[in-house]
Amino acid sequence: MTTKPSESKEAHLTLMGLELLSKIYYLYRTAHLYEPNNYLFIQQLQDLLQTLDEILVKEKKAQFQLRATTLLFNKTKLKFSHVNYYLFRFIKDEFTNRQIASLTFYPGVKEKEVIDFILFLKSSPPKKEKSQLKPQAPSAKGKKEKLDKKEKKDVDFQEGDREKGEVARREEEKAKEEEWPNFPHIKIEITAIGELAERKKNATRVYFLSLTHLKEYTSQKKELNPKNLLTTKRMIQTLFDHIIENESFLLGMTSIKNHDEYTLNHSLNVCILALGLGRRLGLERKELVELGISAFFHDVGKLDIPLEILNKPGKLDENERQVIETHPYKGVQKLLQLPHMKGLPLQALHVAMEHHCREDDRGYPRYRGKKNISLFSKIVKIVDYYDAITTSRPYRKKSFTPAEAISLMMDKVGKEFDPVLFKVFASMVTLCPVGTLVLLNTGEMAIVYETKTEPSQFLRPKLKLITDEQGHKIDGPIVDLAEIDEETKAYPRSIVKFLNPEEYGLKVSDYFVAEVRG
Amino acid sequence: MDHPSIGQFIDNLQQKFNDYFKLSPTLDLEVTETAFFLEGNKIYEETQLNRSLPFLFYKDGITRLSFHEGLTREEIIQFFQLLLEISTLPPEETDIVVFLWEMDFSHIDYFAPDDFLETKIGQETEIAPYEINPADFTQGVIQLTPEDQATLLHYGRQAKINQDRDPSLSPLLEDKLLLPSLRKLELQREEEERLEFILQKHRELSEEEETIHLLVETIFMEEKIQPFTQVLHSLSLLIEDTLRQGKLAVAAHALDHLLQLKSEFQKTQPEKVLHIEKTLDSLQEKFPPLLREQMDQKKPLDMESLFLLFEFIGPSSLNLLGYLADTYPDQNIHDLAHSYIQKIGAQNISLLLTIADDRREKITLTIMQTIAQTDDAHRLTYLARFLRSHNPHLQKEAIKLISAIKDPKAAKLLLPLLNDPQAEIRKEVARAICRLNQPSVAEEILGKVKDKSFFERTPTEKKALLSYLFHLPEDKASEFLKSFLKKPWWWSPASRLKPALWLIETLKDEKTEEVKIFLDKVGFVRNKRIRHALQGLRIKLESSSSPDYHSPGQSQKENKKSIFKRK
Repeated sequence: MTTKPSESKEAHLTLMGLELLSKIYYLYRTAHLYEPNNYLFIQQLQDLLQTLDEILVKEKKAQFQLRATTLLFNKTKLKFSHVNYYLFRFIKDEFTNRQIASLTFYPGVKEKEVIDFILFLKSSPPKKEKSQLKPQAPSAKGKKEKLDKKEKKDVDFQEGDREKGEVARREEEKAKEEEWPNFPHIKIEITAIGELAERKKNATRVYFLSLTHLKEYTSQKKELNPKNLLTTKRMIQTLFDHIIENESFLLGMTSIKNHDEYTLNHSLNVCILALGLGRRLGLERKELVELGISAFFHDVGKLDIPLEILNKPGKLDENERQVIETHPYKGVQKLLQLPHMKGLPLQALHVAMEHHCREDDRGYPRYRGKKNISLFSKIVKIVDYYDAITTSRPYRKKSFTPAEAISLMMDKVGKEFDPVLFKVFASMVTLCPVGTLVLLNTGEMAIVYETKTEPSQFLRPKLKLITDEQGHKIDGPIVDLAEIDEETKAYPRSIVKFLNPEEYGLKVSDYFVAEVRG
Repeated sequence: MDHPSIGQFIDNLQQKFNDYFKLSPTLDLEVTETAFFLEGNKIYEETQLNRSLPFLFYKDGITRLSFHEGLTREEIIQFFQLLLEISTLPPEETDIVVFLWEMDFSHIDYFAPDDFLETKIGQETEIAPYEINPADFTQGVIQLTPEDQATLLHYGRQAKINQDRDPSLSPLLEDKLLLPSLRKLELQREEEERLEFILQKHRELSEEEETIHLLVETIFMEEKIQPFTQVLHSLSLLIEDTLRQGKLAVAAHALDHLLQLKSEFQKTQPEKVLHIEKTLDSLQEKFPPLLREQMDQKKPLDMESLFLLFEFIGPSSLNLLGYLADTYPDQNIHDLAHSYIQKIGAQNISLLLTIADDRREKITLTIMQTIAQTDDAHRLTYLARFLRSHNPHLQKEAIKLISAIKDPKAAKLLLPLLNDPQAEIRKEVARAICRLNQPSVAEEILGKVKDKSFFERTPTEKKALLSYLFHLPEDKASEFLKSFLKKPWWWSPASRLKPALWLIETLKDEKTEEVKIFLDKVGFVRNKRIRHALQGLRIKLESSSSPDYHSPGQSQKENKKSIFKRK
C-alpha cells in the first residue's frame, strides 16, 4: 500500500510533536527536582534545544494547540497510546489549568528564554479554580422550548448574549495573557474554556444522566426498553469527553456505589473505567463508543436473575450458582431482542457473554467451540472485577479498598486477567486509585483526588484532606503529596496506610458529589 | 463527489476558507435554528426547516461550528459527505453530533452543550437524588483504630531513621509497596509488542464471524425452547446481513455451524432440530435473491464460498450459477463449477440442462462432461441436444463425448452430422465414427463413401471414413476398398485415381500387419501411378520397424505430408 504524501507528512509531524513534547515534559520534571545549574537539567535543556532547532529548521514554528479534547502539533492531530499517554495528561492538564489555548516556539528561541519559560511554569503552579466566562449555550429547558416554539426572538436574545459574552471573553483572555512574562520567541495564547468547577458540575450531571438513561433501558420489568441507541452513543461520547477533560474526577465518580440500584451504578462505573482503559490502549473513537456501549450493557442478563439470588447474603448453593452463570447468555438474548439492535455494536454481545471468561479458561460460560475471547470482553472483565470487589455487597463481608483491589488483582494476573491489559489498567488507576481513603503520616485522613501518571509518583497523588491531625472532620484543601518542603527538602506528607471507608462510617463518593454542589 | 462541478465547488470553498484563514485562524459559525452567523452577521438563512442546513446542526444541539486553519480538501469532502448522508436519513435516526464526534476532524469542531442530553434522557424515568448532608463533612471526629495508631508510631520511628540517613529517602509505604509493585506493573518490551498484536488482531478479526460463533454458543447453551428460537432467529438475521454485505465466507461458515449444531442435537433434542431445520429452510429460500444482489454489484466474490452456498441452496441455485457465468464471464470457476455440477447432477441430471446454454460455454462444457460421466439411461439423449448447438465448441465436445459412449445409438446420432455444412463438425464426426467402430452403421458409411459427395469432403473426413471401412470385418467393405485400388485402368484420368491415393494415404497410419494382409489380398494393380504409391507404402511398412525410418531433420509430421493436402 502506498502512503499519500499528506499522510507521511502527518506522520512526520506527529513524531516531531511527540518528541518535542517529551523533551519539554522531562525538562519540566527535572526543573522540579534540580536547579538550572545542575548537570541533569543542563542535559535535558540541551536535548530540548536540539529538538527545537531541528524542528524549526523544517517548520516555521512549533505549535501545540489544545482544541476541546484534541491536541494538535502544527495543525496535525497527535495520537497517544499507553506508551506516551502520560505526555497527553501532562500537557492537557497544564493547558487546561492555565487556560492555555496554544503554545508556540518561533525560530531564534534562545537557551535563556527556554529556562525562564520552564522556571515560570514551575514557579507559578496553575490555579485550579479560575473565574472565566464561557460562551453560554442555551439551557436544556430553553433549548427544548426553542425547538418546540421556534421563536425568532430567542435567536435575537441569544445574539445579544453572545456579543456580551464575546467581549467579556476577549477581555479576560487579554488579562490572562498579560499575566505571562514576555518571551520573545515563545508565544502563549490564552482562552476562556470554562471554570473547572463548572466542568466538574457538568461531569457530575452527565454521570447522573447516564445513570438515568441506563435505568430507562431497564425500567420495564425484566425487558430492555428500546431507547434510541443514538442517545446512548452520544451519552458515551460525552462521558468520554469528560474523562479526557478530567479523568481523575470521573474516576472519582465511580466511587458512587449502590446508589439507587447496584447494577445501574456498577454498569456505569464499568463503562467509565472501560473508556479510560480504552483511551490508554489507543483505541479509535468509534471503537471507544463500541467499548462504552458494550460495558454499559455488560450485565444486562442479570435482569433475569431473581433478586433473592443476586442479593443473597452468604454462599450460593449449586443450583443458585448455575442460575447466576446463565446471565451472560441471557444478556446476549436480551440485547438481541432490542428493536434498535440495528445500531448496537456486535461487540456488546461478546462482552455480555464473555465478561466472566478467564485467561485460564476456568471462568464461565464454557464455550463449545469458539476460540477467541474478544478484546473488549477482556477489558470489561478487568474493570468489572475491580468495580465489583470495591463495592460492598450482601454476600461479601467487606468491600476491598481500591488499593487492596489492585493488589489482589495483581495476584490474579494471567489466571483471571490478561496480564498486559491489566498492567495498562493498573497504570491508569495506579496503586493508589482515585477515591482511596488514606491515613497520612501527620495523622490526617484524606481521599485521593488525582493520581499521577508517572509510576514513581503513584503514591504521591493529590488528596483532599478530610480530617485534621486530631481526627476532626474538616472540609480540607487539596494537597499534592509530590510537593517537597523547601526548608526540610522532604515530603511534608506521606501515605502510611490505606483505609477502608466503611470502617470509619465514611462514604467517599459523598466528597466528590459535594465538591460540585458547593 | 466525483463530479467535476462538485470538485470545482470544493476547490472554490477551500480557497475561500484559506482566504479567511489569512485574516483569522478560526472561522466560527454561530448556529441558530434557521441561520448561520459569522462575527455577528447573518450569512445564511433558510426558514424552511426541512431544507435548512443550520437546522441539521441545531436540532442536535450544536450552537457553534468552527473551521480551523489547516483545513484540508479531504476534510471538506468528508464533511459534506457526512451532511449528505445525514440529510437522506429520517431525523430521528440521526444525530450529527454522534457522527461528527466519531469523525474526529482535525480542523473542524463544534460546540454542543452537555445539557442538550437532558432533552433526550429522563423524560420517563428518574433516579433517586443523591442526598448528602454538608454538615457531615465538618462535624464530628473520626477515631483512628489501634492498628492505625500503631502504624503511625511505626512510621514516625522509621521516618526519623530515614531522615537521619537521607531526608529524600522514600517513606515507609513507598518502600514496602511501591518499589516491588512497580516492577510488576512496568510493561516490558515484549509485552508492548503483545499489546500491539492484541489490538491488531482485534481489528483484523471478522466481527460478524465471531458473533456468529457467539450466537451458536448461546443457542447451544440455551435449554428453553422460546429463547432458543429467538437467538436462532437472530442468528438467521445476522447471516442474512453478512450475505448482504458480501461476506460470503462468513455466511458459509455460519451455515456450517448450524448444520453441526443440528447433527449434535439430532439424537437428544428433536424439537431443537426441527427449529434448526426450519431456519435452514428459510435461509435456503432467502439466499438466492441475496446472492444475486451480490453478483449484480459485480464486485470480486469469494468463489469458493459462493459455491458452498450454491450447494446449500441445492438444485435451485443452478440458475444462480448460470447468472454467475453470465456476470463474471472471465472468472475461472471451472474446477469449482465442475464439482458443484457433479453434485447437483448426482441428484437429478436433467436439471443441469436448464442452465446449459450456447453462450455459457465453460459451464455448458462442464455440464456435458458431467452428463457423459453418469450412468443415466438418457444421457445420450441429453448430450444429443448439444449436437444442435450453434456453438461449434459445444457441438464438437458433444460429438466427442457421444462417441466415447459405447452405445449403438451413439453412431446413429452422429451420422447425420457427416452432412453438416461445417467442415470442422464433419471432420469431428468422421473421427468420432472412426473411434466408434460400430458395424451397425457400416452400410450407411459405405453409402457415404460411395456417394459423389465424398469427393467434396475434407481430407480428415475422407481419411476417417476410409479408415472406418478398413477396420470393418465385413468382406463387403474390404472388397469395396480393394476396388478403389484395382478399378482404375492404366490410362484412367487423374481424377479417377484419387480415391485409391486417398486410401493409400489412410493406410499409412494403420497398423503394419493389418495393412500387409490387406495389400496381399489386393494383389496386382493395373495403374502405374497407384502401383508406385503402393510401392512407397510397402517401403514405409518395411522400414516402419527400422529406427532409421525418419530421414534426419524430417519430422514425423512432415513425413506424413499427405496427398490429401495436394488437392
